[in-house]
Amino acid sequence: MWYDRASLWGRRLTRAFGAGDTRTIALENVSLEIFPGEFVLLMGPSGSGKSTLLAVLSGLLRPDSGQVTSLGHGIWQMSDREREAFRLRHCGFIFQGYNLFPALTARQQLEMVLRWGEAINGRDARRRANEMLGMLGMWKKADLRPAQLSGGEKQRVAIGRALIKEPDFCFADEPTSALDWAHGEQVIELLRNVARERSAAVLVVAHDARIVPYADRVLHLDDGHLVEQERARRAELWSVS
Amino acid sequence: MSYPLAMLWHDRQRYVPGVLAVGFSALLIALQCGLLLGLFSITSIPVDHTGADIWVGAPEVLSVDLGQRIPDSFLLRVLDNPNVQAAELYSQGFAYWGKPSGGSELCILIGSRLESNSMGAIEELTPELRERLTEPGSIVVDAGELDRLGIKGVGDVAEITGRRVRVVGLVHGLKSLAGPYVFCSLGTAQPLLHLLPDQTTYVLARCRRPELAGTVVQRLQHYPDMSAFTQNDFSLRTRLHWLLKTKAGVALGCAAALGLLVGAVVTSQTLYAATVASLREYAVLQALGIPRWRMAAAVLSQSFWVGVIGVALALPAVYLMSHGADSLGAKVLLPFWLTSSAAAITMIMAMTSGLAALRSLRLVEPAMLLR
Repeated sequence: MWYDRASLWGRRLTRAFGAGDTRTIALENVSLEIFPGEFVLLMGPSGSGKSTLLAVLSGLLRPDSGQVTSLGHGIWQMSDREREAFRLRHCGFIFQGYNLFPALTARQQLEMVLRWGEAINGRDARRRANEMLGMLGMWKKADLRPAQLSGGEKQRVAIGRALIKEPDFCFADEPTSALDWAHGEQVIELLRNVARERSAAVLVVAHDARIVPYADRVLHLDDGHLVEQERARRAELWSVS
Repeated sequence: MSYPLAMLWHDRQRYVPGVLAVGFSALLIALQCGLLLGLFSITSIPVDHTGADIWVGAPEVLSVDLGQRIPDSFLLRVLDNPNVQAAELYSQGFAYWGKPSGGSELCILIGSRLESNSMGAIEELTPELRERLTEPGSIVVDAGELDRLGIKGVGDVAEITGRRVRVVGLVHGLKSLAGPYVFCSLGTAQPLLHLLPDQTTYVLARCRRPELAGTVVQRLQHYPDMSAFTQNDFSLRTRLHWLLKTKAGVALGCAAALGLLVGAVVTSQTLYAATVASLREYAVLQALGIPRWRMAAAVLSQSFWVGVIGVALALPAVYLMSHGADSLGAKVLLPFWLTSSAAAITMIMAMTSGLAALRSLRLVEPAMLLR
């Protein structure tokens, strides 16, 4: 079955910060796998290592030990340039802050990723940006700058920026924490649809328990250890396949 | 509009110090060089205010005022060239001026033909003055140099190298750096400069067409015992010699370097601060796998536009200030090559500032976006 072949594997991942007496272990012997089309929620108290795990799995932060295999490639065995190219081809990121360039319109934020990342010509980049903004319900606001958008709209643009490349993985760190629940729910539904419709593996780090019903699986991290996995929607995934 | 330019325009207030620093540097370089060129244009007055296409003098002559004695037979060599229409002798040299009240002053004595078609007579010498100068021992000086020469005006008598001379007229606007110019006939100049009858300082020539001057000079340069220049080249050579001899070039270089340094530091810091302000946005792009060189190119593009805008603002200011300086009596020369060089140097400075600002991109770290 398609979901039996994990697209992302983490094996015995350990990561610590600091040295000597100040050394803090953020992750210890964490192993997990994530499947294509799966919407995985990573929960846990502050400082439990959620963001560190997301960074290690996504190729942003090198683990002290352990391996990450992504689409069959050991991403921490790659050179920096190869890993950058891998992220460009396969990974989308959404962060808690929207981190949009204040000078650029919603459309330009998306076009920039295509033109700078994949050297796509201006016309095609504009067409794809318009399609993505349309999908996000933002086409009327394509020419507005971040200062003219609400928080939810800005996060949608950030999601569009992450998804415009049609990535195999989408990593989101607290994507709803700055939004009210109405907007937050829209964002979560968008991400779940991305997993379903594009068969992308979506890993979301969040505190908000209201997101749990939307997740295919919920991972709990505590003090750097993976303590629990809930397979809430596994049965539903079977039926979709 | 490109993304870097859009960012620059959106945050234009942030970039104002950089733009002003670039503009200030361009202004400083262009005006300083223009002032110096204006100042040293005085040294080439004998070349610039006369009508010869070609100047022939002693080998390796450095400047018009440093002419050495050459045989007047060189005149025949010059006339031998089919592209030369006419040639004539010209005498110039330093001499001691004895003031009527005592004391002496070094002056630059210039002896030339005085006919209306003369190449060596400066254009300020009117037909009436030329007529008066035909009288042996008569001279013309600049009205602004009377005090320096210790005389009051026309009719006064003084001595040059112990020989009596009489002032028969005055010209205006021909003040000199090294010593006052004293104009006279070839016949008057010869004994005052201790020239033998078969000696001169320069041979001047006029070509059948002015554009042939370069070709004629090339042929004349084959003679090892003399040197030949077009009018423009000799004028430039004279100015450059004075620029280097007086070390004014060094002072100019230091001042310009200081201006450039200040401009570079301010511009670099402006670009650095602007990039640091967008670190989180650049970090997202890096997380998404956008190559770092793309962001570096964006910073360099911004430095290019800061340079272009700064130079564009500076150039009109340069011309306005040069007019202002002119009205105050300070001559500012702004040939195209000077303004374009100032613009080019400033653009290089702006781009170098962009390179220095690239260090800010080292701070871009995608992991910092994860909390």
